[in-house]
Amino acid sequence: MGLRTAVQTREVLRVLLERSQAEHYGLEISKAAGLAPGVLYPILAQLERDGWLESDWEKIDEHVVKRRRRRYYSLTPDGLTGAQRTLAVPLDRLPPQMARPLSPGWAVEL
Amino acid sequence: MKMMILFVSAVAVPLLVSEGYDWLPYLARWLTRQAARVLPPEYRRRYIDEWAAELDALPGGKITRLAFAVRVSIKAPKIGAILREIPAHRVKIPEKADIPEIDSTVAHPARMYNYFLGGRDNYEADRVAARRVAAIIPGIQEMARANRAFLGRAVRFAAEQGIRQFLDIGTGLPAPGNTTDVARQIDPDAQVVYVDNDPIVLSHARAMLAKGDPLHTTVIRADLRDPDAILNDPQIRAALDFGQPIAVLLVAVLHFIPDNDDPAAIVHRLMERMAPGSCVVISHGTGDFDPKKAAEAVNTYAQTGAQIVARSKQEIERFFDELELVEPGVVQVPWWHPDTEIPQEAAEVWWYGAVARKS
Repeated sequence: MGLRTAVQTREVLRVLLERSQAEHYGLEISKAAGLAPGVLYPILAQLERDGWLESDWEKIDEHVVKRRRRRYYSLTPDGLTGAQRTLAVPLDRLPPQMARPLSPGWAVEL
Repeated sequence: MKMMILFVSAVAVPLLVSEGYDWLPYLARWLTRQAARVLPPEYRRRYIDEWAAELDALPGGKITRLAFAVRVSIKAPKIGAILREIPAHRVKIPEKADIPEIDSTVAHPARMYNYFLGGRDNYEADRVAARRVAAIIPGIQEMARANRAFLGRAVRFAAEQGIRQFLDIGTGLPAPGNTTDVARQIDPDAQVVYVDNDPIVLSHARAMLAKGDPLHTTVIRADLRDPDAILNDPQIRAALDFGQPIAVLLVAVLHFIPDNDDPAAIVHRLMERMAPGSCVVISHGTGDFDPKKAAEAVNTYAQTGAQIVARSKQEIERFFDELELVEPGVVQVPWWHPDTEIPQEAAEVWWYGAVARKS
């Protein structure tokens, strides 16, 4: 993973950590993190692949609220710890090994 | 994929923009659906639905939606590659609440019926099974059309009696001449509630019927075998006024209810709760005209997992006990209030139909 993706991933983690759960769907995360949807979805998929994120359908009756249900993302326990550790390291101190593929352990090894 | 996106952005978009913006939302939906095709199959439904919800929620103009669609389309191969790395045991079944993925490899009676009506909401497996039934009963397509026409005449009859609320149980796949179409011709404000227990039917019905006019159309999942669940459903109670007459439509559905589940008691229970002036519309397959062939057709349906019970005229008449049958009573559907000359092949329509009123 390049430095750019690492920085973008931090932004996504920050949004998931700091914003309320009600805003954890693609469009809102993309807005809050300042990332285009084309950038965001691969990051979400990676975090899901690595077990940091889970996703599930919004619990609404589409027919009653007259809109489609959204897909909501939430941090897993691993993701929560990982996100906190990741964000604890200031950006200017990110070491070069950031260029490695993302994995649940990557933040811990910094 | 890349070629397609190039084409869309270079040729189609300027063209469509100059034609007005109306096509753009459809194009955006279409693009995201195409994009999902490069994802692993078990994730396709999820991303199609996820992106559809995002498209709906996007603020701003239609161009914004298209931009969203183009962006996720370009990245779809990358997303697909990431998803393929997820170990199989962690893949959850891609559910969309109560609407499962439609299995197109197993024939389904609602889609077979749709095929008989000349509709397009059917798959190869449905067509194969439908043709097997048609080989036994060549008139089956005519029967499906005759049944549909009966539904139309019966709904019109009820609307002309002043009934403005329709409870259509066992809706089937939407097709031209559905209850809403007919009821609206008489009263644009008619309330229609569609009830079906079949997720395939529901997903189609919700998409097509409710979006057209959500204020006057309600679609709910319930099972006819539990009439109290239907009568007490909060959405139904919100949509219908049980103090006013309601037309209860049980068109081509009671023959899916075996005797063990006591279909007559179900009809009785439903009508018990309706206000005076309400009516019930029933059509039902019968073996009276050729018991042997009817039995073969029932067996063919059984192979698709659908249990059908062909019933005699006497058995069907029992459904109307305590109600007042509208003339001419229980007849083959083409003979119920015909609005054109009855064609010769109508004799081959092995469906009884009738309307009865609650006084």
